[in-house]
Amino acid sequence: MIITLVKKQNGQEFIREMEETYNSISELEKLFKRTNNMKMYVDLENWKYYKENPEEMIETTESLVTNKLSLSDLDLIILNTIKHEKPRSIRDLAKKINKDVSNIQPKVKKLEENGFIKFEEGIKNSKIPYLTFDEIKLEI
Amino acid sequence: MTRKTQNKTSIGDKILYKVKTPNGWSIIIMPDNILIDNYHINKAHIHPDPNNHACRVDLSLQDCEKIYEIIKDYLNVSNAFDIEELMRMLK
Repeated sequence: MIITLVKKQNGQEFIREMEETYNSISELEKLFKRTNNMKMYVDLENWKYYKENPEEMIETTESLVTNKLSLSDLDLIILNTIKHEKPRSIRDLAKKINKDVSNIQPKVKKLEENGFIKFEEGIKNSKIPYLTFDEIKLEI
Repeated sequence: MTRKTQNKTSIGDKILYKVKTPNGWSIIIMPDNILIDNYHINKAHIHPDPNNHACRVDLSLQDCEKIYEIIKDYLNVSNAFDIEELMRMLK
């Protein structure tokens, strides 16, 4: 089975991601010269391209070829609720789908490990879940 | 209009990256650090030696999607990554 997460972003967002990862183009150039890492070479080429074309849209997809991953009905409800109801914490998420937070926590952790969701810091040490993509595609 | 796509595919312990821009495309196999692209000379080629970027072998296949599918299938079925074997499939 192939699970593909699709995200749409523009060149500026791509540059922000690159800055978070490498700081600056010159840092990346130095790093590439030192390591010869081909992923860095392609990131460098793209960074230069998007510096010139910041408004251009990019479709980023992340695919996982696996027979181990399964998404339960509850997982899909969690993803749907995060996307449409924007819960402010895991507790808030549990409340919105009428489940106990202790049942939701392991599910949310698994979704994070598989790259479906991420967290940002909320108030009073809460974690705000958000989706890292716009679409999920499944291929069998 | 979306003119560029980036794809990251995890297959076992390998990660396959595919990046397409109006200027060209590239496919990277990590952690083996192998680059296949058509940048700069507009002809598909592979850099089989990660320590020598100048080393380049031209491929007869030119279609990025076709090359990507061959590599994906190869990684899916083979237990060990053999660059020579992969190059024979792409030439």
